[in-house]
Amino acid sequence: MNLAVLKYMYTSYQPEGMPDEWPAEVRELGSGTTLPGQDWVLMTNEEYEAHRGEYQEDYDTWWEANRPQD
Amino acid sequence: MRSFKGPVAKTIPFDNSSNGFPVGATNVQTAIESVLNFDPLLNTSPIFDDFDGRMAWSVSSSGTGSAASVGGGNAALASGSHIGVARVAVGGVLSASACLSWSGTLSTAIVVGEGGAECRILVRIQDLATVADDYVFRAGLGTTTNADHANGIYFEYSRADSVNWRCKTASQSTRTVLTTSTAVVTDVWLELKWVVNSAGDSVEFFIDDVSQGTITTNIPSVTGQGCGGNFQITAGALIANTREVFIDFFYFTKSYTSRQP
Repeated sequence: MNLAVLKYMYTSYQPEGMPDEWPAEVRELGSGTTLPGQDWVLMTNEEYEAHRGEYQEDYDTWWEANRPQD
Repeated sequence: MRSFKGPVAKTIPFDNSSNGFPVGATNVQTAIESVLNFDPLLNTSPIFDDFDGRMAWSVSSSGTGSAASVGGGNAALASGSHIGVARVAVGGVLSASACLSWSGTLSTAIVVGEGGAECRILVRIQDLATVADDYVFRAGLGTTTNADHANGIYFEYSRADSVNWRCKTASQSTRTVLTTSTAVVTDVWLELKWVVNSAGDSVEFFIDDVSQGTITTNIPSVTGQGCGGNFQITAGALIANTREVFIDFFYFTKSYTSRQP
């Protein structure tokens, strides 16, 4: 499946310290390739998982410092 | 194992696709036996709250006029077949928000996968959002009280994005969005439902039992991505008047693919 992926660096709601490369939003395109906008990136499922894996540690660091408190 | 023998029970087909009975209950006999032999190590006891005040919800709100409540709601709505109604409302001030959510460790208690799950909610939108009176409403499972969820499975009404309901999954602050073709309407009760498959890798969303589509990415199915019951309303870029949403019930059930130790 193809995915349209928007990274946090291109959003107006990027939290402070959130890694620029971390995906903010995903749209499932099926076999389609039309992106919702110019800042979106086309990825396969596998590419998406690999991309998240590459920046997982950075996200985890941010999450530990910013997770909602009970 | 307790058995039930009805003279024709095995010949009466039984649709178990949307009623919470375990897979395999395809006729009346097996459906009844699944109840007689309910195994809490294979199925969670369904979590059902009619917002009559018996279940504890954490209430949070900010901004003048914002409020969240359980059991009170609107007296005119909490009558007839809608006994017990919850309410979330934002006052007419910027950055206002209100939320009903599970509290403490319950707020991250649910991780889907290793079995199917189903969530059903009855909601009633009182006023459409407008440019001048804008708000965002989210209903389902989530993690956050005043912003979009880090982990969750939920429905969203966000006028700035669409006049239609949006279905969302969230995993580690990444959200997959499925915009439906069902417009948000006011003054009617709507049943919002989603069903997770047993592998935990697909969620189908329904509005009034009509499928709205399926999401297969960013489903919170990994330990550490827990979420809990959550109804949230936040003010949009502009808001001048109070805006409110009513919720009649919350239902969640989960079955496991193997007995839990």
